Amino acid sequence: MKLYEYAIRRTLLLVPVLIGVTILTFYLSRIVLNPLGAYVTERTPPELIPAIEKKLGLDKPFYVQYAYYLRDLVTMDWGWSKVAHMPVLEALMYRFPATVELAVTAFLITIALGIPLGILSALKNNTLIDHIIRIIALTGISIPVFWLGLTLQYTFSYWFKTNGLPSLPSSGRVDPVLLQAHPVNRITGLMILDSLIQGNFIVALDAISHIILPSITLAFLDIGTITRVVRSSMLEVLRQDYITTARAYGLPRRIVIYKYALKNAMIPVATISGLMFGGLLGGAVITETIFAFPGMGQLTVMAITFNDSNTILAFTVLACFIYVFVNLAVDIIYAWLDPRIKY
Amino acid sequence: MSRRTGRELFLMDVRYSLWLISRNKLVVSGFVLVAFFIFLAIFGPLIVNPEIAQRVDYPNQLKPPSWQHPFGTDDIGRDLLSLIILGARYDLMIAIVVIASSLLIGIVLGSISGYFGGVIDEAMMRITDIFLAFPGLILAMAIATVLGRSFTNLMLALIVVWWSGYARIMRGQVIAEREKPYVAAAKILSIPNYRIIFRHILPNAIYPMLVVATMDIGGAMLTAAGLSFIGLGPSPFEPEWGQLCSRGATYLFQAPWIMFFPGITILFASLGFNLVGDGLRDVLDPRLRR
Repeated sequence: MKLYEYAIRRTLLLVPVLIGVTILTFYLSRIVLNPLGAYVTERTPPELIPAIEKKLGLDKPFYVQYAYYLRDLVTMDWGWSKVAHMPVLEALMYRFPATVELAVTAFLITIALGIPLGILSALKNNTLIDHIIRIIALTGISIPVFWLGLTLQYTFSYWFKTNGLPSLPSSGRVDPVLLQAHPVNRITGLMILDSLIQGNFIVALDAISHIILPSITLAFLDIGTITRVVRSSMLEVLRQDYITTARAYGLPRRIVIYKYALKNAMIPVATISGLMFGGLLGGAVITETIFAFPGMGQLTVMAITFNDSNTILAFTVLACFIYVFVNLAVDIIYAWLDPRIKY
Repeated sequence: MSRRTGRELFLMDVRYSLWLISRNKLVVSGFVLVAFFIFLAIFGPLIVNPEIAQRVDYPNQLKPPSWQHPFGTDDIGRDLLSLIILGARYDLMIAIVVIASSLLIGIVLGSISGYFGGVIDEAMMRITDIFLAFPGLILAMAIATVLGRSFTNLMLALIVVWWSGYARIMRGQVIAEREKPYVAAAKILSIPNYRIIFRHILPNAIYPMLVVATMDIGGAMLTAAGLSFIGLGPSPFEPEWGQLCSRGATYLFQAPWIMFFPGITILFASLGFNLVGDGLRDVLDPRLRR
């Protein structure tokens, strides 16, 4: 089978999964929950309720309702968001670039630190350096994200500030006053990129200073995971016969490690980092909330507080679709990277 | 030399495992941490009087750490140390119940799927695909919201999210065992299928599941505390650690200790389980035993 055939087959296999996903979210939104919630308040006249039910199609049998639900999903009519005071999809799309910006920054930090730490840990196996890195990695997977975020926020934006040290902003994406003085047009929606394109370095710098703490918070968790994967994968590869052979031929250690071992050790790392990125793009619910970073995750937490189920379920579907398609891309890249895989 | 009996061999194996564990200081400290938190969870209400600890005491609100209140007091004047001790119950229980239930569901469904194969297998694996397609935290969040805010619903939401991974691993294990001669022998003796699965295959297939499950207890605890932090946990007056942290977030700059101590407690508890999981993996992984 050729690579493109594999890609097509893998994509077709997604269809039943996505249908299942929509059945599950439909079940949650229409059957477990009262779907009228978003449209009815205590001040709605009771005689109007049947009319609203009729308009939403709630008087029809469930399979017809499911068909309506699918139609609405496909035609991008995802209902009204009580929290954002606008259609759900519009609200999510407006916030999506902020989430992307945060996800990309956190992902870059994770890769830049996690991979070298993992390699170092494997090469210095069972030395003090290895133990220290392993403890850091274990802490990374054991730390509550909200605690890390709040502690960083307290230390770097409050304690540093009160002690006259250079501090970082504690919340938001950019200083609104600064933004008003130096307006940035929305091109991609990525604040840092937009301001750089327009040569607005003051806003760009401010946006960067806003993203540091939330992206470090997010990255710390994933660094733990990725370091552990790199370490064990690297140790596994270094045990292989071909590495011993290369060493026996008298090739320098550095060339053996970086030219022969690293390439193969990176294959499982590609999968795990793809999964991570998919997860990050789905929105960092807790981190965005703590740093008041206006992404999709923050909107969803506000929606939880106000019981706005339309927004929550739309976000669930969207995050799931993003996750599934990033996974698909990862699988295809994986097959391309590792020709040993028999699809 | 006399031949060793099975019992002697088993004891040797246990002793060797214990030696492997004791050799690694990190794993030993993991066991100590876990034992400590389990002790708190069981005996917490005997160490601290819940009635006194939960009493609202406004004159004492937002007091920084002192000899009288080593971790300080919260916004309604309750002693944080006592609350954290009482909270051990909630966080450990939720993590252990979620993992144990998911493990049970995963083992049963995974072994049925792997043993019988065919249509049953295909159908079950497509269902697990659906659950694995969601980012875990987000599906749990949606379910917990829809069911309504409570301790039980939080556990339910996490179980719904967690079981599918175990079903997958178990299925793989059972498929690997299914073709072995002892299963064929059991079939010839016309031992009923359920007995073959649960008495013969299960003991051979379960170890990797136990390692994964131990390592997941920390993760389940973090996820539960996180959901509780964003407001999907038990009622605001129960001393669950994530809940306490979320109270602390409101007073972050005024009284950082309210957020700090419960959070670092979660860190140590989940670190303990992760260390034990790591150690168990080392002991059970035959490649590392040589």
